Amino acid sequence: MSFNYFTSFRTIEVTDFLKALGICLVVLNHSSWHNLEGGLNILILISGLNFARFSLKKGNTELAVDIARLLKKLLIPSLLLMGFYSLLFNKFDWKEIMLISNFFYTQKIAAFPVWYVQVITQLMLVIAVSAFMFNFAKWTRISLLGFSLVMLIFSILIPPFIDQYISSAELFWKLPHYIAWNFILGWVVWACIEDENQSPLKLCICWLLIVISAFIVFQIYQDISINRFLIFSSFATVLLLFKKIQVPTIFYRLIVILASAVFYIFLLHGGIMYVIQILMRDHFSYATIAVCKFFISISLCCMLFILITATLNALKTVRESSSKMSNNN
Amino acid sequence: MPTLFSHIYTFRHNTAVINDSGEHYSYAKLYADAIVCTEQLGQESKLVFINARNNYSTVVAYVACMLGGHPVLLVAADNPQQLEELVNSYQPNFIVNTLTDTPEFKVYNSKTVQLHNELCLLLSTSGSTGSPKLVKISHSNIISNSDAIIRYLEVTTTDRAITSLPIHYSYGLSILNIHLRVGASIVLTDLSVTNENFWKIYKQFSVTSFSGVPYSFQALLSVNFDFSSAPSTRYVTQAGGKLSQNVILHFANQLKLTNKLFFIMYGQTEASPRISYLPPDQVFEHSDCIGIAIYGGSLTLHDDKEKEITDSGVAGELIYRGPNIMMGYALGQNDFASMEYMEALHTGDIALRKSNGLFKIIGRVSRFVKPFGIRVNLDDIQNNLSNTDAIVAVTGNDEKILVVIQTENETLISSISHQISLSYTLPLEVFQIEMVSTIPRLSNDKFDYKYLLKLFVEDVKQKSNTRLFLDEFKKEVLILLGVAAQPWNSVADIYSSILNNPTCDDLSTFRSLSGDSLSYVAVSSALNQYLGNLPDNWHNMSIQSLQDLRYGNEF
Repeated sequence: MSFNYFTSFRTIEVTDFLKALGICLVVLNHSSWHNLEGGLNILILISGLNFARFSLKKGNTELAVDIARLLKKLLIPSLLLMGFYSLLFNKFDWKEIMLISNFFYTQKIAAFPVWYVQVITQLMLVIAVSAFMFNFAKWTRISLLGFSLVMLIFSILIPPFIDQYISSAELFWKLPHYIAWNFILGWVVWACIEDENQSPLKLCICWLLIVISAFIVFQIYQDISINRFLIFSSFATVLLLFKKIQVPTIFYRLIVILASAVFYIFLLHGGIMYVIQILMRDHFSYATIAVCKFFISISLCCMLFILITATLNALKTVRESSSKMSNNN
Repeated sequence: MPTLFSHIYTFRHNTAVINDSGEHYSYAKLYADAIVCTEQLGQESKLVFINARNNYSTVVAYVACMLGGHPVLLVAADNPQQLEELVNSYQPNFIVNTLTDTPEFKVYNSKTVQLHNELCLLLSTSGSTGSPKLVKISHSNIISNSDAIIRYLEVTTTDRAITSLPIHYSYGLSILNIHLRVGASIVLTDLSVTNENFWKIYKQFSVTSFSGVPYSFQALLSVNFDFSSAPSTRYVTQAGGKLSQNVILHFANQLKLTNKLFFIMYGQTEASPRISYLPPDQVFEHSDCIGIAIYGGSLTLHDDKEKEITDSGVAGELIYRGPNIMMGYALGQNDFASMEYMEALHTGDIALRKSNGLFKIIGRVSRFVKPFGIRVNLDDIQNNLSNTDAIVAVTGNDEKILVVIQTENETLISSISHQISLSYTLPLEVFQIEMVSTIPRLSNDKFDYKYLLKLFVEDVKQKSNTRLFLDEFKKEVLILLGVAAQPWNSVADIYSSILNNPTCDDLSTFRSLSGDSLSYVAVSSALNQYLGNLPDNWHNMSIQSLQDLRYGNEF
């Protein structure tokens, strides 16, 4: 007699699971499934949640230091890659390298979503400066939830004002004031999840905020496909309701690798897809190319993540071993 | 045969259990519900596994098994993987589902399982063999241990506990046992000790005792909890690992102000589980001690030659004797029929006795190592492998178990590798197998383990940087793919390695070390592997608190 009950599962944090799903959606979207939108918005939401979780309640100076560290990890590989593409295509755009081209045009040289690096950098700098100007540390200690809600309302209301001066639609809304709400919503979700006095009512209110914010931005401000709103709201609901989920053991490691390799996939999948497109366009159907783009780019990016991480860790061990040997001698 | 709860009907008018929505269940009700369950189990002794939760249904099922003389194992209901492993290994007659108010007894194996008539309880312990190892506890073990605990805690019918720990955990279970045994009451809740509602319930029902493991107290410290806000408390207990002295003193000071008692306790699953306690009046001056043996038991120290150490201040292995020592281990269903009389329990800890008679633990016995947190007896492995045609010496440390075979026959290496892979759940790469023509020995003819360890493990052979890089690269790739496990030495090792921050200390946390979303996945994955089970709030817990979670077999 056997039970369905007895299957082999591993527990994984929902944020990791959704990170893996989110990046897969991004790659699927770029592979040709353009109706699968919202992946990047989920990643931004989780980034915001983690920011609130690890950094937001710190002192203003510590917060600024954390932001600087985060930007360093983000910018060094991004700028190197931008440099690589500049050399490859023999083109140079100082606005792109200076991380401000998203305010001027949507064209880019580097074959990855440069706008995202630019927007996050701009947003982080605004947050760092604002933290000192408005003493974030004081307000987050009084009430993280209250502070986050105020910031969310502000971030939802600000876009129409700025749109009087910048034509956001022409720039496909790839601007910090159109992403801030998404990032700050992560703060709200975290403040709600970590609240020890959590109640179904609070969860409901948080959920409504997610849905209303997403609706306002996606459907009213941007008036884009309903898919993004639906997918984003669904994933955000899962994030709100569950801290951990169980996944079949067979998928656990794959999900962990995907979640760890998000930044690699983000930076590199565009270039890989470009190469696949060139190699396959005259020989295979559109659908086959799309499928190959997805699987090959995800696999190659994950393999590169593993190889680069393994190389860096091995080099570190060799350095430590050499240092130990020379100390002993 | 008397069981732990044979007499509970005499308390029929008392409240036995209160659930967190305020429902009171009397002993009469509990007894009646348990009797109904025993009728489902039948007259013949059955092996029962319970999917345990901190709820009334679990308590009914457990009491029913104890009353009916059916050996029972409580398994965490939120760990189906563990249940599956245990069920596959031991093929119980019944599996109990406790989701509903009334426990559901489902038949899993209708064949008779041979069960010793003394066997009453099974407790899980970390083991190094292929199947999960269980500790067999007899009726007399649990009765004597419960009575001893009741004696020093002075538990009476007016006491009321709360399930601050899971019932499936032997420390949590011991709290349930002692309170039901004396006709006291227990409040059932799944809430965490850092949840405000836990303390609301605590005060609402005037709970008189709080029991925690090191993590509980660290968590309370992090939220500046003060026991003066829980005036009904009479005493607090701590077991489940070593709590740092400054935290002990912090709470001891707090409790002293309101005349509450603080008991530091020590034990092992194999001792049902309590071995010793520190009298509350000694906690300030001797917070580093495990105290004195419980009533009916005794603690002694033995040196390498098994000779008793009588002088104070001299270290030796801590040996416990008492009526609560288990009736042996079970590795398979067949083991339930037998009883092993154990005159003494070798704790595996090195301790010394202070001049005032209190014992203090200072380390671990060298023939025990703890790769991946699993306590391994090297003598056990050596004895098992010595059944082959070769002479085998086994030694090691927390990273590597060295198996040295005295033979000229190379095929023996593969046969021993095969035997190791079949017998032990540890990853094969923890084992290092070497072949020698003669194993070096000491003058007393014992194997020279120190020399072997130094020769094959500790002395780093001079590898070229390229060779070292390639070996490390291969290892790292296998770890990232999940094929191999990284042998972390400690939580600090994980943090300093992944966060690249060598400045971490015991009080550092993931947040304070500037961990962020980019390093989060790698750190949580490594901690999950190292600790086994990661609490929700891990990123706010200090390195010391997380490290304390590792030693799960010490109570």
